[in-house]
Amino acid sequence: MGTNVNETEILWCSPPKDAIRWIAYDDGFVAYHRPSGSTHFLNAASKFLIEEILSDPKDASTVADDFADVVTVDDPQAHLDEIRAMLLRFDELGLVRRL
Amino acid sequence: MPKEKMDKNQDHTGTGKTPAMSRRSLLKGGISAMPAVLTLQSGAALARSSNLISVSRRGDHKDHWGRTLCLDTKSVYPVDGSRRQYDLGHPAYGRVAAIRDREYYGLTPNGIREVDESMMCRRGGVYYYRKRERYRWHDSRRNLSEQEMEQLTALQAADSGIAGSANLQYGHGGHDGGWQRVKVHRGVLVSATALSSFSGNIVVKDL
Repeated sequence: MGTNVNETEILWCSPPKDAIRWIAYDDGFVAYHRPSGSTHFLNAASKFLIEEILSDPKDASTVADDFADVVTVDDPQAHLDEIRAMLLRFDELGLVRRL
Repeated sequence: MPKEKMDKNQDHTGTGKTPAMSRRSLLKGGISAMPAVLTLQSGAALARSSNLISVSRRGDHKDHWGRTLCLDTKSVYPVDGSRRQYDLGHPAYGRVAAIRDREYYGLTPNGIREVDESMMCRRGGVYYYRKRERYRWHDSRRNLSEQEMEQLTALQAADSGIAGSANLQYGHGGHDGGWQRVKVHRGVLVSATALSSFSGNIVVKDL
């Protein structure tokens, strides 16, 4: 995914603790985002990303490296691109923050 | 997914708190999927029909007979709380007042004054007109006579249900001065072109 943003300058982190209400549902989670009133279905990997990986501010490359511990990465560049796209999408939804 | 693994992911605390997703649990679960999110549409968004009409703001709210088209907003649904767009539902339904081009008078904050059809639509209420030509070359914008103002005041008071108001009859000519009465529901101006694009049951009342 193309982007005109210098990704190395953006640090991502979790939203405030009370911004999201998590509810376990089947194999995933339902997340109610209080500020927007929106409801999302998320898989376990998403919750791990939001609550664990981003508990400390990190740039996209570091997030991708952390995620490589738990997923199989065949193409590191494609993996990084996918992580960047997901962070931007989560940012649109308010599920992560950029610093 | 094995039952015990499903149980591990369920909330057993009764507090609504879900267990933290640690690396160990993810590795044990063998989860290889990347993060994924599915956003639920709000009920309002799901319920919205495709029969949306926008408020006319370009002066195109008159039909080819010169009538001002006023959509009764109580007959339709505002979109997302906006007052610029309304949902006519499916099949499309709405009540429209087609207000003829006349000299109308009504109660305003400044007393009984002449009002235009756009204001009548925006404010709603009861308005009065007389069956005569709207424009006469020699007195197209004359002020009301004292007698006419008294008549209108009495009519307006009667419609407001004020006790002791004059007992006037509505109709043609006679001692009531020939004033006619119309009632307009508060609404928004819409264009004839937009209305004609809907197939459904748009009720147009000629006023």
